[in-house]
Amino acid sequence: MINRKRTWLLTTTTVVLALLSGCGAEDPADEPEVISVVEDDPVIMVHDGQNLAIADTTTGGELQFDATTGCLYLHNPHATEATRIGPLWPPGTEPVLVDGKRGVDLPGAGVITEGDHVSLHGAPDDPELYSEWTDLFGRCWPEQTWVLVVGGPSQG
Amino acid sequence: MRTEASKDVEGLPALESANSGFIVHITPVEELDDVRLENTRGGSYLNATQSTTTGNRCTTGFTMHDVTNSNRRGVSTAGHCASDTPQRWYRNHNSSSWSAHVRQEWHVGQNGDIGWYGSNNSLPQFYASWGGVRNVTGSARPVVGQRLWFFGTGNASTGQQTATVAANGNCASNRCNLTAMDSNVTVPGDSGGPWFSGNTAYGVHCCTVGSLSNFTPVYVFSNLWGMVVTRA
Repeated sequence: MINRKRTWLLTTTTVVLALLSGCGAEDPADEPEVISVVEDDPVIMVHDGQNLAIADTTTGGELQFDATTGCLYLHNPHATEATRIGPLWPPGTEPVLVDGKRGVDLPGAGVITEGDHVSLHGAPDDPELYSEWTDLFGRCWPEQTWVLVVGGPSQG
Repeated sequence: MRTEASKDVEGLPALESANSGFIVHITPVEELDDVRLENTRGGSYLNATQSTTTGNRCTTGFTMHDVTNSNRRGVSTAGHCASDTPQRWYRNHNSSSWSAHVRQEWHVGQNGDIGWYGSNNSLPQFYASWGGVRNVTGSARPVVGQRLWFFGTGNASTGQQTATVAANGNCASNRCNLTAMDSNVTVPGDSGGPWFSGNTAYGVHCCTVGSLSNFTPVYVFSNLWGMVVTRA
């Protein structure tokens, strides 16, 4: 049985950055919400599907849950460096709790939960490419976590 | 194994030539070339494993070489295909043979999203469709409004694609210098694949941004590393 909790957006990239920077002159409402944090169980991050590059390759791994942060990540023991990957899920993705397992309901794929091996559309990027979101990512992932902008399930 | 002459190596004895009197130091070097037996082309499989359907999959763009150093030659692809994969497996269409290739250089950032793997047997050709080998006779910069064609190995059921250049100098995820097309004609596994018109090379595929296919123009290889598209 799926216990899908009602999700809500607690923070957005711009709001977090504004708070951390002491609320600068720019109005956060004017900034696009490129990445949003969905504070639920589990916590997930969702991109807007418009402004980030989705690499046209495939990345596989096991979905895992970090009980310390309450966030999901992808574990790929076969990678050279990107063994721990923080997914930025596509719009419409929702966190789910299924029989005690955390996961997501991914559009086009359905429910995937911790322990599942998945193949996703996208490539792990060095987190330095997303330096403007370092503080936001700190909510879920340590600095050495690579970043995966997920386009959806891998097909073809 | 490849041997490299005239270099001192700690712990290795020098070999003295009885005839010449020269001392020649033979350096065993980890051989990166002895598995590069396949004739490489653009538009082929360049995957992290020896599988056409599973694992991390990419496509080759065009074969390239350094005009000032004949030892630097290989096949291009997307930078994100190389960033975490020091070695990839190459396979031609209609072949069952895989050959291993070693990452040489890669870049994901302000100049685009490009990389290349070494190959001593690169041909001035690319696959413009499944099994459709085409010679490369030149390269050019994309112009807004221009129609281009694409081929990638991401989906076995799709063939050559086409779209029109919508903008140059696009940026996303701190990747810049991208050319954005007017539609999304690419799928996972197409990264690195060739954008072309006729026999002219234009770019290597990067990614999808806001439902539009994006690629890095081939001239960036020359600007960054002195690598040019190999012509027939």
